[in-house]
This record gives sequence, structure tokens and C-alpha cells, in this order.
Amino acid sequence: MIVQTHFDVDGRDFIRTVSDAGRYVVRDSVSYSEACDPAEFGRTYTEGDLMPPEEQDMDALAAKAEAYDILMGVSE
Amino acid sequence: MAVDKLVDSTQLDAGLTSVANAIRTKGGTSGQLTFPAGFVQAIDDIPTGGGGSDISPVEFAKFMRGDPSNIDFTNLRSVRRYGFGAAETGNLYLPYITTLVQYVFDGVNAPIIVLPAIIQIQTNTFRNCNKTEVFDLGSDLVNITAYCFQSDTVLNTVILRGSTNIVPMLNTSAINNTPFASGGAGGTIYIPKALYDHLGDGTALDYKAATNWSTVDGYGTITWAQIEGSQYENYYADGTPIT
Repeated sequence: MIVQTHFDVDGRDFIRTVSDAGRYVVRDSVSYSEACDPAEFGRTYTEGDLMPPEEQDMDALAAKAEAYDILMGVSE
Repeated sequence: MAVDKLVDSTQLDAGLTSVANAIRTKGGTSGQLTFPAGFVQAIDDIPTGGGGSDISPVEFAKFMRGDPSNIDFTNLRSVRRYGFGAAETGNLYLPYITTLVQYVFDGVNAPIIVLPAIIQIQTNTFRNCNKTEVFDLGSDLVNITAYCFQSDTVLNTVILRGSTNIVPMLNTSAINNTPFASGGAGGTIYIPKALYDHLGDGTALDYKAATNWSTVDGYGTITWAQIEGSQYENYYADGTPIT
């Protein structure tokens, strides 16, 4: 699923677009691992192929690994 | 044993010693060589082959950490991951390289890296080039990948020669921990005049309005400049490597 969040850069409103499934987000045949645009441009994206691990957000991967360890009883 | 000619034994001994020394040097031995069996065996033990020599990766690494600045890398066709290590190469001009894997130049001491034929790079390809100030990337480069320039801490100039389309930045992580990152000292990105017409409204081919580039531009760290008329108009105006 496409997830969009707003953020601010020097007072300007931007939108960050990612896939919550670790897929590329695609617009005009270009596949981005993360797409950030000025909010006023209103750009939209579709989900593409699954990204290889090295292109995914490593913090998110670490969080998933930690969650897995908790679920498996390895850590609390 | 037949005796049919007189021989100067001193000259013969000296000659045999000279040949034995040559065999020992080539074979990497220092032992006594008996004549003729020892000579024959020692020669048989020397590996055959062309004029080249094989060196171990460790030996090569030590060599590269020494002074490879006199090596001409111009004809290089491919480089493996960590291929240049932290080598003291000086500026690199690699006109035949079209694809690069991850971490190729990690730590290399090459203030300027020029890749006129580059087409495809992977994530992290130029990562940790903490001594490189200038990347000059040819017109066929298809994109700027995630973590591409991450931790290139002294990077101050990027030349993007593609003039037909903007080179997409696939993730703003491309410039993490570089002078182009938010709060960084900044630097200059040279682009063709055709992509320098800044409307800033997202409707034109314009780096300042392109996905991810627009965000980095918002950091206020990029000075945009035209390639045409700049010192980077040609890779090498006089056909000689940058020094």
C-alpha cells in the first residue's frame, strides 16, 4: 500500500511517498525507493516490484527484526 | 669418459655458477644445485607461463596501499566491490566503465573521479569516498541510486551530463552525510543548459522540481550551474587527463 506523509523543508510542505510493503513506488516509469515532492505538485505513485533488501529503509528493517525477536521470545 | 678437447675449468666453473645463480633467482631457491640433475630439476620446478606474474589479493592490497599513482587505469573495463579499497590512486579517469557494483571506490584517495561512459550504478556505489571532491558522470547515467554518495564527506561538485532527461534521484539517502545533506556546507551540481531552465512549478524538465531533487534543493545546499561555459564543459579540453 502506498503511504504518504507530510514533512517540512525550510517552511515548504513536502510529501514523502513510500510503499509499506517494501516495494518501489513508480511514476512515469521511474521506480523510486522513496519519493519526496513539494506537496503542491500533487504527484501520485503506484506500487512496483519488491525492492532488494539493500535498498530498503534499514531502520525499518531493524525494527522488523526486533519485532520478530520479541515475537519469537528471543528478546523482550 | 672420452676426452676430446681442452676446457678452461675456471671459466667452466664460473659459467656453471652463473647459470646456477640465475636458476636459483628465478626459482626462488638458495640451495646447492648438482650438475646436471639438480639444474634440470630446478628448471622443471619453475612454473611455465607468459611474462605476467600472479600476486595474491593481500600482496595486491599492500601494493595498492603503497603508491599506485603511476598505474594507468584508463583501460579498466570492470571493477569489483571494494575494488579500489583505500588506494592512493590520484584522480581516476575511467572511460570504458559502463556499470558499477556497490562500494567500488570505498575510501579511495581520488579527488576527481570521471566516468564518461557510465550507465548503471547500484546502491552505495560511490559511498564512503571521503576524499573525493568531484564526480563527473557521463550523459548515459540512468539514475542516482539510494545511498549513492552517502558519507562522501568532502564532495563539493557533481557533474550530470545527461541532457535529454533529468537523472532521477531514487531516494534522498543518496546524499546522506555529504555537504549536500540538510545543514551541510553545500556544493555545486553542474547540469546541461537544457535542464537549467528553472520554472519551479513541476511542469518542466527541471531538476529543482524533480522528485527527490526538489527536496534536496529545499535544503539550500545546492548551487546549480550550467555545464556549458564552465570549466567542466568538456571532460578534458585538451585530451589529457585531469591532474
